[in-house]
Amino acid sequence: MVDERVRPGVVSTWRSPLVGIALVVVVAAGVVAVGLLLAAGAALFVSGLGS
Amino acid sequence: MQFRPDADDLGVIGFYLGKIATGVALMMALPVGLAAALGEWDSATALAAGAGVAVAFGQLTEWRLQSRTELTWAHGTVVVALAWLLGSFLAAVPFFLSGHMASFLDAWFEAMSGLTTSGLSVIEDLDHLSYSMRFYRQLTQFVGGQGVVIVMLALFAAGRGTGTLYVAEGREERLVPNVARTARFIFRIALVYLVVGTAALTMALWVAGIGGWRGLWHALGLFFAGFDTGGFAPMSQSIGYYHSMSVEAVVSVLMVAGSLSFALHYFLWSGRHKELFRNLEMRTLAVTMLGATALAMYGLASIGAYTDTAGLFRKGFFTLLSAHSGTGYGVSSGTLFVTDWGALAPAAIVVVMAFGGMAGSTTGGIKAIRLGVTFKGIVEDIRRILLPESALVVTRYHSGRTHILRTPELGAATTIVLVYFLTYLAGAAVALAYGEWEITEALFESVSAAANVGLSVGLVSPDMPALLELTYIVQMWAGRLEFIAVFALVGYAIALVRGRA
Repeated sequence: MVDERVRPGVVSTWRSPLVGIALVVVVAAGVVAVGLLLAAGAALFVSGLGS
Repeated sequence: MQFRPDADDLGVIGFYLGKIATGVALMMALPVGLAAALGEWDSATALAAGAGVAVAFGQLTEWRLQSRTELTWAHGTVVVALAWLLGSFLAAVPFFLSGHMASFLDAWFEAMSGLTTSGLSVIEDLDHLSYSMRFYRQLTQFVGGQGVVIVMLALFAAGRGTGTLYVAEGREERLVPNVARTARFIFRIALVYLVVGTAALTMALWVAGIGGWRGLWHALGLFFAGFDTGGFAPMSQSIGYYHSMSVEAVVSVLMVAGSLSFALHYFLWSGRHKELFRNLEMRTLAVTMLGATALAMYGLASIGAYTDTAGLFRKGFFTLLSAHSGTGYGVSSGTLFVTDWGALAPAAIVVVMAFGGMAGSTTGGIKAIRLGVTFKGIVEDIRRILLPESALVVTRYHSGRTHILRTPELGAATTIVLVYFLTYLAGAAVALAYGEWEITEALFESVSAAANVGLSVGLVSPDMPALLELTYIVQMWAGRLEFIAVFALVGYAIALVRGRA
C-alpha cells in the first residue's frame, strides 16, 4: 500500500537518522527501565513475603 | 477452476529464481576474503564451492529462461516462496562442507534458521568452527533479515512487476512509491545501524575485555543477529559467554530497534516523531511487553528462581525481551526454562514469542498489528451490541496514517492469527508423537520455530529426529513468509496438475 503522504527525498540531512536512532535508544531505555522496575518490585515483593 | 501455468509462466519464475541464486552466491563469496586473510583455506574452499554452485545455477537459469514476461501477483508469490527454499538449500552447501554438520539436512536446517532469522541451531562444536564460517553464519541472518528478495531488489535493478516480490516477502509498506528505492532505503537504514551498532558493540566488548580484531568480529556477528532479530551468536553460550552488562545493554537496544518496523524507522528519520505514540503497534507492544514482564518477574521471584533484582533483570527480563523481539539471544541455558523457571515465566515467554514484534520488521510471529486490529475488532463488536441498532459504529486506528477498521482487514488479520496458532499446535503435535517430551517443551520449541525466535529448551539438537527437523524447517519457512506465499505455492502446484489448459 502506498502512503501518498510520504514523498521521496524527505530524509535529506544527516541529522534525521541520528535523531531517529536517538529516539529508538530512548524507547529501548524506557523498555529496559520498566523491566528493571518490575524486577525490583518482584524482588521486594518476595523479600516482603519472606519476612 | 484455475488455469494451468504454461511454459512462459514457469520460465519467468525460473528466471527470477536464477537472479536470487546469484544474490545468494554473493552472500557466500563475501566471507571468502576473511577466510583467505586468516589462512582458513578449508573454509575458503567450502564458501567458494557454495558460491560456485549458486552462481552456476543462477547464470544457467537466467541464460536458459530469459524472459520479458511481466511478473504477475501469482508469479511473484510463487517466486518468493521458492526463493526461500532454494536460497536456504544453496546457502547450506558451505555449512555442509565445513565438517560441523552431521548431514545435509542439518546444514539445510542451519541455513533456513539463519536466513529466516530464527536462530535455532544444530551445528556441532560451534566454538571451534572457523572465524570465517561463523562470520558467514551470522551474515545469513543479516541478509535474511533484510529479506532475500529485498537484497536482490536493492542490488540489481528491479524490473517491471517486481513490486509483487516485495509484498509477497511480507513487506506491505512501500516507504517511497518506487519499490527499488524502498528496498534501497531499507538497506540504508540497516547500514546506518550497522555502523552505529557495531561501534557501540565494539566499545562494549572492549569494556568486557575483548578488543582488537576479535572484538570487531564479535561485534559484527552480534550486530547482524541482534538488529535482524536472528539469535545466532558467535559462541555457543550466546550472550551469556560475555558476562557483560555493557554488551547486554547494547544488544537490548539492537533487539528493540530490530523489532520496530522499517516504516516506523522511516517516519522517525523523516521527522514524524509523534508516530511513536500514536502507532497502534507501538501501543500493542507496550501492553504485551508490560503484562508479560510483570507475569514473568512475579513467576520467577515467587518460586525463588531468582530472588534479587540483578538475577531477575539480567536473566528473566533479558530473556523475555529477546523472546518478544523474536531474537532468541540467551543468557542462560534453555533447559533451565523447564527445570528451574516454574510455569508462569516460561508461559509468558511462549506467549510473547507467539506474538512477535511489528509487521514489516525483521521479527516473526503473529505481529502487533494483527493483535491490535483483532482487539479493536472485538471492542467494535461489543460496542455494536451495546449501542442502539441504528448507531453507526466506526473504529479507527493509526499506523502510518489513520485507518478505518474494515471487515476485510479484520478478516485477514484474524485468519493469519488463526493459521499461526494452528501451526504452533501442529509443530507441537509432531514432537509429542515421539513420546519423549512434555507438551510444554513441545509447544515452546514449536512456537520458537514458527515465530522465528530461536530460544530452545533442548528439542533442537544434532541428533533430533529427521521428521521433526523437517517440520521445524517448514515452520520457519512458512512463518517467515507469513503463510500467504506458501499457500499460493500450494495452489500453483495444484493448478499445474489439475488446472484448466
